[in-house]
Amino acid sequence: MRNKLLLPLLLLSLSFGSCSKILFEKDQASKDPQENFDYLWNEANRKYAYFDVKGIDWNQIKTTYQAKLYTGMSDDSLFHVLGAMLNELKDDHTNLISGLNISGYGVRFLGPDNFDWRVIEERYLNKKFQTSGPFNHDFLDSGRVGYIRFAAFTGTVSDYNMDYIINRYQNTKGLILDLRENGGGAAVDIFNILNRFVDEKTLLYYSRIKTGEGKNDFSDPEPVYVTPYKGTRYTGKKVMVLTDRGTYSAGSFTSLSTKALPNMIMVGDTTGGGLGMPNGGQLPNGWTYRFSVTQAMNLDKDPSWEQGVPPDIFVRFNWNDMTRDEVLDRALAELK
Amino acid sequence: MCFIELPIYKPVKFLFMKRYSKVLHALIFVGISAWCQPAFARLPKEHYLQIGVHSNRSALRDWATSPLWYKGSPISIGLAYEAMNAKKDIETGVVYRFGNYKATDVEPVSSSKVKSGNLYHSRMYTISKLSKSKLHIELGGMAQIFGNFRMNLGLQNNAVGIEAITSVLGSARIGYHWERTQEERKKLGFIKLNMHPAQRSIRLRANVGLLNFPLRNGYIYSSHSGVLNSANPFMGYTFSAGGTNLSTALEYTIQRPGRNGYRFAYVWEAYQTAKKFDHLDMVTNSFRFTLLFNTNRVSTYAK
Repeated sequence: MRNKLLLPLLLLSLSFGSCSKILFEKDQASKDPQENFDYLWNEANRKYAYFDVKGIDWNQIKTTYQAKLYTGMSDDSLFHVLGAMLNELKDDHTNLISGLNISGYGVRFLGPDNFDWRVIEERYLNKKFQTSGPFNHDFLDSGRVGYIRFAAFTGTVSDYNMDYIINRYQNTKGLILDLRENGGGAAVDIFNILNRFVDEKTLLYYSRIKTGEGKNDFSDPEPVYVTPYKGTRYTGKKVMVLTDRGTYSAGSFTSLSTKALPNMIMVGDTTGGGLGMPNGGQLPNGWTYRFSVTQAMNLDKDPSWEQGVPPDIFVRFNWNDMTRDEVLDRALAELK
Repeated sequence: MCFIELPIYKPVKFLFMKRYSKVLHALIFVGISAWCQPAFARLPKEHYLQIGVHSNRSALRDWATSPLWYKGSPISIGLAYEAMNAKKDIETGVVYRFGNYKATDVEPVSSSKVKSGNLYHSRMYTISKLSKSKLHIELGGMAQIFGNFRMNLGLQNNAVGIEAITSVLGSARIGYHWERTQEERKKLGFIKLNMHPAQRSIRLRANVGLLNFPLRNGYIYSSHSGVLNSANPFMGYTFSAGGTNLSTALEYTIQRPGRNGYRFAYVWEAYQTAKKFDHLDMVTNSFRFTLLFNTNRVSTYAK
């Protein structure tokens, strides 16, 4: 009896194992250019957040770039087609990443360069400054102003760093927070900095996320607040925030937030944008990609500052005079 | 061999295809369990602590981030407590699985670190009218929470994947039990063997998810909690009823009557979350070796 039962049970058990082929769709791994093109186009079509804000006709772009595909095209050629298609989104939170190359748009080139660190080091800081975590800083204007250079949102801004810096410049007339060419990084730093400059819980901006395939299928705008730090703060005095086209992503979020904080004044050029949080994904050929899937909106619930947060005071760097930083000079003048 | 060729395909297909049938099967399962319970409750039981190690071949595909299958050979360990007699078998256990999964058909090879946990409680009841002294037919079910924590740095803001699938499964098991009641001596060439009294059983169990509640991301895989100044990593996660949870287990158990034993098993598990949004596919084939420690102070085994 048991021998008669053993074989059927074994076969039955193994046959259940083969159910996988019925349950699951077939393997999608493919190097076919058309399949990879379709996959990428569809993913962006379903999830990209800024088609309407940027006036992008994604269907037209499909027609344009699909025509560039051909049978037997090399990986390199396919990468150029797909990368160029993504660059039509005009968004530095959009990249195609492969072992061959990484595509990127380059919003910083939409405006002239507005920053030279060496000019500040040599002409303003006399080549001496303090470094506290991710911040470089020192006194300017005979000790009346504190200058803080923040080059990247490293995610490492600590209470210890901030306590030291805020205490050091507590008796100055104002601060300058230099975010030029700050390409962004960890969002947590935004709030760890801004909570030193408010006395009460303050609404900064709104954010919403895609919830469906329609171009305007978004969640309700969610208000974003900053709460005052329960310790040393710097309030009641001006904080000049220096920006340029290289100020991107978390840098732009900080710039956007300054619009809700009357004591923080943006000086310089329009930021690069990057107010949509990027996702991440993979194509059938293994290359990875990302693009923006959320919108940040100002207090009027307008998402158009994705294309750059405008400064309160527009100033350009004069590259004919490498002894001065006109943007920094203007900020200092505002603090006189 | 293809499952579609077997006669059992039709009823299983029926379970897949008819949405309303899930409720019906849940009611049948609960009804049978309730009907069986009073009659068997007072029979003495053997209690076993089970400790097992499993070698797995597993594959997963998360459509939210990739159309590719990631495959791996994770190791898992299992810990369970089982109380059983001729009429009833109750088991509560946990399985922890960990390993690397890779999509190898592409360049560069992508890798995902996966940690999975499975907490379950199972109750099986012998159907006396269909069973004989050695052949047992059992019906019952299982409540299960299965979850994954996945890390694939190549997916950038979508690097972390988390899901939990809560299921109520209906189960059927067929088992054949036999035993050597007296010590025997056998000779294999020059080797003399003392064959102690032993119980053996072979059992095949099939589980079908009747009610599945996967906790997964919403339309967009990543949360925007970071720019909301919120620390909630599960923002946007939703329970959505549906999906598939199937598993089978073929077990061969040897034990001394009323004493410790060990078990070999081949287990197949398949999960598919609800297709409301981009869904998850996961399938695992496990070869398991489990030690059974009898924890009864006084054996209830009837000689």
